[in-house]
Amino acid sequence: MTWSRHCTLVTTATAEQLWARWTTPEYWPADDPAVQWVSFDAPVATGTTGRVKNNGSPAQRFRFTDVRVHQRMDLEIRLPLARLSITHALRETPAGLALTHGVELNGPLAGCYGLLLGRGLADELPAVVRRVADGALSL
Amino acid sequence: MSSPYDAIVVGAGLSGLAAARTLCQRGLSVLVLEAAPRVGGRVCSASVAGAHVDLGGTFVGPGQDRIIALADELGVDRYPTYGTGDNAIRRHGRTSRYRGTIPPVGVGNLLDVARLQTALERLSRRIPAGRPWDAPQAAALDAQTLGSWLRERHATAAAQALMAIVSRTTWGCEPAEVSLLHVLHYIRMCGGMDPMLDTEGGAQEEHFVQGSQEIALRMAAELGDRVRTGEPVTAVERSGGESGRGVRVRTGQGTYQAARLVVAVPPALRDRIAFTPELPHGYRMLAQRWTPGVLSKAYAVYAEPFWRSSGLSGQGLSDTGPAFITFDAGPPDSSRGVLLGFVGGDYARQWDDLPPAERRARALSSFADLFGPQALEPIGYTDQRWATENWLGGGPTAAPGPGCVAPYAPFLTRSVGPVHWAGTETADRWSGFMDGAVRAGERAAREVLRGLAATGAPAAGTAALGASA
Repeated sequence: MTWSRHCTLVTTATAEQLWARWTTPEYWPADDPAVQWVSFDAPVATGTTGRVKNNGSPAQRFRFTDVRVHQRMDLEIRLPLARLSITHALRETPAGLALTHGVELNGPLAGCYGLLLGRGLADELPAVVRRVADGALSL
Repeated sequence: MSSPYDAIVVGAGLSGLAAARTLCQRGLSVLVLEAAPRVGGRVCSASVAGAHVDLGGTFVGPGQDRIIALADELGVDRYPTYGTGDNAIRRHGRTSRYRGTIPPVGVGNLLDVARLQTALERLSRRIPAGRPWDAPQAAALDAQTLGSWLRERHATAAAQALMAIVSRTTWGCEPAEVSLLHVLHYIRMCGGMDPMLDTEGGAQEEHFVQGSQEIALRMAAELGDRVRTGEPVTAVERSGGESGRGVRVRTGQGTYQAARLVVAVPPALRDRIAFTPELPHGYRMLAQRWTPGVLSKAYAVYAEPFWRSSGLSGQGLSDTGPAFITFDAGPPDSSRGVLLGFVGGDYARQWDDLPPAERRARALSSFADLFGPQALEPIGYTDQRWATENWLGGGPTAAPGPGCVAPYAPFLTRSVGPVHWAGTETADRWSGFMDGAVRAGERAAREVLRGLAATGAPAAGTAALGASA
């Protein structure tokens, strides 16, 4: 079972600027106020692990599952009977770069987690994507 | 110093021009002084990739009799807003379709919206049009905001989100910023929420073929050299005190005399004029506290209205922003596709400060969310940020906060000796709309005529002024 929501914003920020925003841990709390801190165990690459602490919940381990420089950065957090993926993608469009962030839940309890957890995350996506673009433009 | 006029009008928006036109038709000598380099005020038109677009006031609907009558007199035609097909909504990260004014937010939320609308309309019927301060429990209603009232009523999140769309579009602010008394009075002046919000049968029913500003341009053409643009009024001396014997009006270019003055600028802009003697305290407080909302508009022009072939009306709602409500604003011959997106309240405060190319990208992104990737390839684009307009300060109308209506609304229209007030905020019907602007201008003109008759001042360029003038 899969539950997913995405938010796309077209921006004039460059792929380099946006990539820097994604891959610098210090920017995460600024771009998503729900994040208290994040740390990476190694430079961002597929297979690299890290820890993220959200406000009001214990720190969780995650793993980068698909990293392509200036194109894509997905990470996965394991939940009981489900996997939460946070996706980040860039795509060229005639109006600028389409910056897409997504929340995807897979597994037997994906629907339940979608209702309990995913919708709240999805509702925050527009503001997070906007902050990432704003931050990228300021770099 | 110039020869005296019967009346000077400050502001060449629809309201000021309607006042001046009415006075000229009665044979009075009139001078209109406009600070901006153009006439129209909060109506402004442009041509983008061969399509006409209204950057300010756009729509008219049933009951807006004065703007419609004026447009008819001036030969400005109307055509219906395109509304055939499904509307689009972007909500919780998903886009879907719906029909009608209220989007598909679930039965429970729909019932809640109906409950809130009924309550607001019932309360609004207690508010005397044009005199909100006389409403029962006016101060208590004024002490709340639309947002606090919604929370007190335990409105669902979806109902609050819908009301936020209403608030951003109507007043250019968030529900937590606007006085509940003002909201109720506004609904009352529109005759209900459906007339205020609907497209078919409501205030968004029609556009002007030649554009809204054309009405102002044609009035200005009739008035000829009586209208001077780029000439801000800096000071007004009331020469006859409260008895209303005349005014001396100063600009950077000269000093003018008149028996009567009509100030037809947004309430907050009244403060830019130094009055001698000073206006009573309430007028200054009004100017400081009736600040305009923040509403911007984005237009994308396409070779054809591609969404129509997909069965979409071009009308859309989005919780993603920056454009949170859209319309098909294409020409009547469908020779171009035109999408209009409103960016208001908090969305506008963020978007207005972005560089032009980024504003364009994000507005198109909103259109693409609702109508697909073709929206990213317009043949023309423009936007208008009313909050950056020096001589207007925002739009679409004033958005007074809590505690600002009951004590200060009386000073919207109460004349001070020879000084009268116009502008859409001073209307007692359709305030905030183009219709309200025309009504207010015509009402101010009637006040001037009555005032001149009462003081025995002769008309047509021979107004008697005190010796000091």
